[in-house]
Amino acid sequence: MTVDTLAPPAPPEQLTPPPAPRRPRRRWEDIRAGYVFLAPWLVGFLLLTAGPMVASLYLAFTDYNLFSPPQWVGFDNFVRLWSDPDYLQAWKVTAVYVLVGTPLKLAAALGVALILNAAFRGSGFYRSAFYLPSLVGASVSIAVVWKAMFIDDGPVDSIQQFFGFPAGGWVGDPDKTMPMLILLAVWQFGAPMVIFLAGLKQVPHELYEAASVDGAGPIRKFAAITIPMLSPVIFFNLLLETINAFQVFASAFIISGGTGGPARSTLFYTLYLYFRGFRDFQMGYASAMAWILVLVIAFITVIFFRSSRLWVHYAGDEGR
Amino acid sequence: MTTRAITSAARSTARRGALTAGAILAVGSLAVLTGCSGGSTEPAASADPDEKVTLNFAWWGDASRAERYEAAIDLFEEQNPNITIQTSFASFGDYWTARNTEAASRTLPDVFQMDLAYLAEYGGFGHVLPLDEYLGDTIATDAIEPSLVEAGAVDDQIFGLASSSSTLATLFNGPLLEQLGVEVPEGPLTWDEYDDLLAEVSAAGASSDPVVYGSLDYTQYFWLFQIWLGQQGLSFIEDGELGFEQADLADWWSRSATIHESGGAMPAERQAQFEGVDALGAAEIASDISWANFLPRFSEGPAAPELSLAMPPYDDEDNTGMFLKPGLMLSIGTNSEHPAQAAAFIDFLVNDPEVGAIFGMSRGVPASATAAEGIEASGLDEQILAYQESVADKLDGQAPPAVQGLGTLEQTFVTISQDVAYGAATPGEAAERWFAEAENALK
Repeated sequence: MTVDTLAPPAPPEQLTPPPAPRRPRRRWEDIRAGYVFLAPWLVGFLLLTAGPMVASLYLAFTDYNLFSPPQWVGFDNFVRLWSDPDYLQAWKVTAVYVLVGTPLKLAAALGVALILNAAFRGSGFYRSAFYLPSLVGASVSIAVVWKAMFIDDGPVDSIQQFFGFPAGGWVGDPDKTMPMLILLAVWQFGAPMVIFLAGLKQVPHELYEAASVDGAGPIRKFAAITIPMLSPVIFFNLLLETINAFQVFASAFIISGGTGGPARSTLFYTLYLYFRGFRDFQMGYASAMAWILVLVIAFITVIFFRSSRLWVHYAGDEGR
Repeated sequence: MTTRAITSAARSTARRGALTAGAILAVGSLAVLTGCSGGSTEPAASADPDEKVTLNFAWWGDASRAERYEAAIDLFEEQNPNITIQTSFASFGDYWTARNTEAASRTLPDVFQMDLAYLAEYGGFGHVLPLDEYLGDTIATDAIEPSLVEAGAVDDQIFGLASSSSTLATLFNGPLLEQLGVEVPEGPLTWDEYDDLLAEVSAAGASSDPVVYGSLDYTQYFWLFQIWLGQQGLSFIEDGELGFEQADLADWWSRSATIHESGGAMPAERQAQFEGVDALGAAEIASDISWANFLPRFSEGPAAPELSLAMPPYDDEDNTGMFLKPGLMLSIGTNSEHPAQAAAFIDFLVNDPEVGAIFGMSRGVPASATAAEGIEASGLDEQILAYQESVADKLDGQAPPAVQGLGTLEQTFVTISQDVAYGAATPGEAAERWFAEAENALK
């Protein structure tokens, strides 16, 4: 044994101190590569979404019938909107759909999510089965089938006669077309349900156990633990479903046969916008309608976000 | 830096450079490939007989008309092996929203059916080609009545060629009436007599299965309204403006309440269920007022009714308000790449005697005498022909001129009259709404 073996090991290659930590600056090549890859989407966004939106904002102040050049009319279109009975009817119909349909849909989603949260045999299958409608629900074929279910002597009519309710398809009855459409919306509860399920699984078990120890019943547990812990998910779903409900078009168009329903009972805002634009050649008017819809949805979104401070708990928030 | 660090840094720069280059290449090829898919070629001025050509053809109508068109197209493709025709059809309302969208994007079909309702817009705004250069040449017009050819004109240029003309008629299901114990009307009826007849039928048919009604709510029929206006001595359009008052329209729509109350008209809820099937063809109503040439369509309905034709109701024999409506015009989209072949196809559809034989009278009276020659009028065709001949000297009315906004007015008329049928609007309110629309549409 020599003294050498007791000598300290050879110094590692990087004995020189590492450069002083500084904020990593992206190299231009990286940024450039990023933009190049992003380019197709960016081009599409600018040409197909942002550009037309700006054009539509301009058109909202014009009289444009698609064929001759637009003529500037200032706020005329917006003024005309408020004295248009069909316009007010469109708001009424859409408001009913949003205010009734969305809460019902979310209630169904939450309810079924609670049931499916307890993993029983086959819960995976049911999860997929309930999710399926929300994948296909907005399609034309489903709307056609849904309508066919509700005509005279159709399946729904037969069932309601069986239970002693008066006979009559729902399609022709102005009072029943909205419930029919709301049912179609509620049937597609699968997507929010899956999100609720994910949220439910994140609620810590200890909270429920502690509550049981304190003698809380299931309802108390639901109200004091589940709902507050789920509130971010509820907020997310509520916001998204509300925005989507304002934009429903395909099902309303198909089920009303492209007319806005018997006696304007399915004259949704988007449907009326379409009629004005493509049936009556009043593109300026339709653009004005479109921008009002954007503003209303934006306003509602802002209200949601502001109010969320009051009722949405995010995990990690200190006390309340 | 150490050697290893230097080399790895150099390699990563080179890799980044390669990445960027690859990205640019990918994006560039994407752009080129998407550009390759669409492609417009200069439309040929004259038809090259050896060129393989595909034409798009669209029409509105029901399944029976579709069958006949397909048969005519098969014939055309046999005679012109280099031309293939791709077809599409829809109901009247859906058809026009589709065409309007296509007009905006300049993707109209090469040949498509045109109507007075939209002739002014499509012709006036240059969405369809003027046919003048083809008329008398590729499209033979010597067998067509000049006034019918002129009917497709906007500002002295012909934008659509009428393939037929038609008139309204009242269709009665004789056997059904007898079955219900209602007297089949012998001669023409007045409006009130017709309403009474409808009420009688509904009363007798209430116990049938399915329930039989007198008719549909005829106040929804835009063209019957035209006839009624003529009978009142009014015209729809006069000097570019509406030729009648709100009160007149309210009078017309107040007839709706009468026939609904008496039960003569099928309830609106029931009527809404009929899609793709006609109530008359399903024998759920015993009479209807429609185009005389729809006789084959109704007769081919699920209940195969035996129908007879009579004139629409009128109160004054000298004032029937009836007119010939130029129908099923054919136009060429401006964006067509093969206008010459499209013109040849139009000539075929309008003039060919075999096409005349295929359609019989189901389009109406053929505009072209050569097409009419091909018809061996038998059965239903004979009935229609006989009817047309019987009313030929009673046509004292006029079809409204093709004005911009006519299509919108027609559609709004139908939509608002639905509200009246449901009782959701009074005739006065409905008339007010329609007039407000008309003000906007006609400017």
